[in-house]
Amino acid sequence: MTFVKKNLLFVISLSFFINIPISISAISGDEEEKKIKQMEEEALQDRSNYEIIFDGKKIIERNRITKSEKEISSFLVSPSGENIVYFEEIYTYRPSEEAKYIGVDFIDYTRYRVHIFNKKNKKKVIDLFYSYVFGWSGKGKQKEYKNRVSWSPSDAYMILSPEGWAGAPGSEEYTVVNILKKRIFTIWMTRYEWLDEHIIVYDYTGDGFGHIIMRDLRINVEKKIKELEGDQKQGEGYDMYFLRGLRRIADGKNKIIKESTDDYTYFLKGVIPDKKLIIGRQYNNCITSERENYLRMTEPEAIGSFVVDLNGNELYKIFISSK
Amino acid sequence: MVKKLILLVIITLFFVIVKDVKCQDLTAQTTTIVTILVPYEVAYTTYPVITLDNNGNPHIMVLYNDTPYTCDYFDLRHIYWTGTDWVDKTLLYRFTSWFGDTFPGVIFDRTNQMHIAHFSRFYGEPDKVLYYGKLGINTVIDDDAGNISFRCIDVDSSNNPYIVYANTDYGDLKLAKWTGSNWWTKVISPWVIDSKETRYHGSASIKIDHNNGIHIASWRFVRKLPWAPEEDEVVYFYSPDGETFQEVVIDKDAEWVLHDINIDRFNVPYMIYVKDDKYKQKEVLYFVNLHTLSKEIIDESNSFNWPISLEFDSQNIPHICYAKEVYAPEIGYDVINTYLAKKENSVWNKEELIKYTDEISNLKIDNKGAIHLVYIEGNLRYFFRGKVKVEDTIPPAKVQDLAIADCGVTANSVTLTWTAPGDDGNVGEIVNGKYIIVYDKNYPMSSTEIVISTNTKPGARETFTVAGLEQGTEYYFAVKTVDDVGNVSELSNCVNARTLLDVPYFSQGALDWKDEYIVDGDPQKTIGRIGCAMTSLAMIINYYADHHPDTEMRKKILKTDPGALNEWLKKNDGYDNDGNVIFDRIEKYTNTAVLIKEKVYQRNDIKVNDDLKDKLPPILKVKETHFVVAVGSCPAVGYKINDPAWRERKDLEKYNYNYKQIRRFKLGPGDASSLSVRGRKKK
Repeated sequence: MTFVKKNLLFVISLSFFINIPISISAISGDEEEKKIKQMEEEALQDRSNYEIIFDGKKIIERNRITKSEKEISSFLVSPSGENIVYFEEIYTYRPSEEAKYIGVDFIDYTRYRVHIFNKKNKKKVIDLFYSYVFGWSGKGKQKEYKNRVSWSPSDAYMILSPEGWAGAPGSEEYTVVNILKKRIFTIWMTRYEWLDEHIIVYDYTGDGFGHIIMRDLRINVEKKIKELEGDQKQGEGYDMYFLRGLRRIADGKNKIIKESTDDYTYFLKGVIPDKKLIIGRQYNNCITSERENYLRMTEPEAIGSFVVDLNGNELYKIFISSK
Repeated sequence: MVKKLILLVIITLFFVIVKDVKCQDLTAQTTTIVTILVPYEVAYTTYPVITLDNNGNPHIMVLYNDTPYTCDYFDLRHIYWTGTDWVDKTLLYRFTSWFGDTFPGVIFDRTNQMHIAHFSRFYGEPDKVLYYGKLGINTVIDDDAGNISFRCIDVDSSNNPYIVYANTDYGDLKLAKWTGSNWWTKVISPWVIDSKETRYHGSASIKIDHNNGIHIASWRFVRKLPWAPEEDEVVYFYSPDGETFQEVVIDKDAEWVLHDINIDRFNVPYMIYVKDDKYKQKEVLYFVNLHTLSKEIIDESNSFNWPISLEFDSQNIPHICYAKEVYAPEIGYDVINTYLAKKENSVWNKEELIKYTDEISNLKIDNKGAIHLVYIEGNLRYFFRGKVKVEDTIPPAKVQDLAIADCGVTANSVTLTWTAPGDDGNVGEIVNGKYIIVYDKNYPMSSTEIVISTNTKPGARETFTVAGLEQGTEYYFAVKTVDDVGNVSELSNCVNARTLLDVPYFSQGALDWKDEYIVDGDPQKTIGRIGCAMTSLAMIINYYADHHPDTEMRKKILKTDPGALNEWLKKNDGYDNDGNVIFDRIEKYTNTAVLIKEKVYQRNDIKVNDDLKDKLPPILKVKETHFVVAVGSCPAVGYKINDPAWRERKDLEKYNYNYKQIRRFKLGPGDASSLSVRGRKKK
């Protein structure tokens, strides 16, 4: 570490105690970005000596030069067992305090190359790069990447959760892998549910407004189920309805549409797959305290909640009760 | 009667000629000027000498032939430049000259008083060394001497003059010194004749150093008796006090010697001399460091002319001026040309200064590095090379490319850039010139001027930052250029720029609040990660707290920061379920001093420009999940921003110069009754 950097860190440390605003930095954002790019190039150069293969049972990392092999024990298997997923770590970036001071993307993350293999024919389906940003919690739990993988009902699609970069609240960019077509694309969404093997229903929210959208991933075409017409005001819109601990949904005439015996499951997930229905809500001036009121409601007066078909036709005003 | 008439005509013509060059002045650009002071046709001049007064004005001494057809009588004339006019005075009238070492010596002391030592001979009288100056008019210093040089006089630190000269008949080397009350003389080196040889001195040069040490260069005839060829010597004398002199023979075996002596800025004495080497059969010009006695050969020739002179410029670079005989193939015979040798980077560079000179004077260099010289080539000519202005009536050219420097706009300043014109149009360096920056909020500009001194070259790229401007205000700028004599250029093209809005900056990543929750308990929903919109709103609030046009309204807006505003928003329904800030809460926070105007769902530069012009900074959504505050614009990069996530990002370059939505604000009526919020005190 250079003398200059040492002293700069001292200044930064000092500023914690005496609350001096730091007005200078020894590095610039461009320099830090260049440094990261160089680190990535060097890491990829280093990793180019290795190939990742799947022998039908285990993942093997083979050194192309020495021909030595190392067995990798940590990998994921899709629910159907057909797909094997391995996160190959390329590098981990841990920014200096100076860098963190400059910009929000200078945050701890691990860069992975995600390998997806077909278990039957042992061939690689596809690989892709993925960053796992773990610096926000401050303790670097990069091994939690396993929780970031989810699958469609038949394992035809793998979804990687948003990488976790800074950004305003609302929808984030999910990475979707079409296993059959070996294609990768992204969808901005907030919450999603599978309506069937290929159709995903999600709400898109951001800056205080929202829509409910359905997308057929076979052709990757979206259809808006519910959206506000005309000028949208902040705090108004539609979202999917997720409520915890509810037992049944009834229509306005107290006719039971769906009932659960388990109070603690997510009963209302936003979709009723077997009936091809979507549960949503129109909210108005939806702010935190009102949201909490919704959650506390026990009487059948969830204003604005509805059940719609796939064309957005409203079939029921819903009645919610925990009784 | 005829003689009187001729004399009258000569004098009249002389003043007519002098008047013709009266408009000349010194400064501005490096050029060479030759001014004819006295035409050959009406007067014969010889032995020119030049010096500079303390204002840098040239003073020329010359022997002026009073009897052009017989050369019987000469006048000692003093021609000098006052700064505006050439003036001619006769110091000594109708004396006879002697064609020997008879250059007058002249110097100005520290009080700008002139001291002259000169030689004169009147028929029937012995040669005399005279003094002319504040201590007397043509006072006789020695009534039996006359070998003097142009550097025969100098003054000490008390402005007392010293004159060095040689006895005409015998050859004693003598020093005369003004003691404060009378002239005191001393023989430095006496004439000697014994059974073996005779030795006697020719002219000498003197220089008094900064410690009043006396340095004298002389040449000495040495002849073996009974009658051998001359074996002349170059001799250096030094005395720290004027009492005792140390003698050093620098060279010998010469048949003829020219010399000069001077000291550099560091008090080191140097001598130059030309030795007609009796063995080599040629003349060599040497440069000698008199401390180290090291010699350098400057030039060689079959014949050098007198005088040779040594000067140091303000950068302590030695300059040697000399004239020598060269063959001129273009005319088919030998001529005398004048040269200047200058030592730069340990190398002597020589240049031909003047062609075809009959006689030259000594060289003088002023403190601006300009060269002054007098020479005779048919007429008496004053040679000047340096910074000059010659009847400068041409103004600098109009600046045509005045522009706002790349992003050279802040909340209180605008940086301008333009290409420098020349002193005359687009030609010539501008020395001691001025730029006048003219600016105003209105067009055409009139009210405010900033004057900047400048020394510049045509084509130079100029920049200047106009500071102290009002935030968010449109200004118009133009520039005009003034040369050193006051010629003013036309006003340049006009450019305009609006200063940025003075929106205080907050970083969402600041240590004070970056880890504070927007959604309690969710580490993914901290100000540092998702607080860009809220942090932008905090900037907007504080902007209005400082700059709301209604000062009463400002009092209703409590200054905040992202940490404090986050707490307030959480308690006042300021976030939606996901943690999105509800922008219209600014109305409650500011007690309706600031209202939401509208949300625009696509890029709309007209609306952003309107807001900036109205000093109502908008918030821009620059990508799917990021907000910044627009604070102004500049032609090169579009909108200037305060980016809560990136301290260094001051424009939209990283966002492809694009944005997706606009949050617009407007001034509200203000409602003091709803004042119920509290900001957080700074830590």
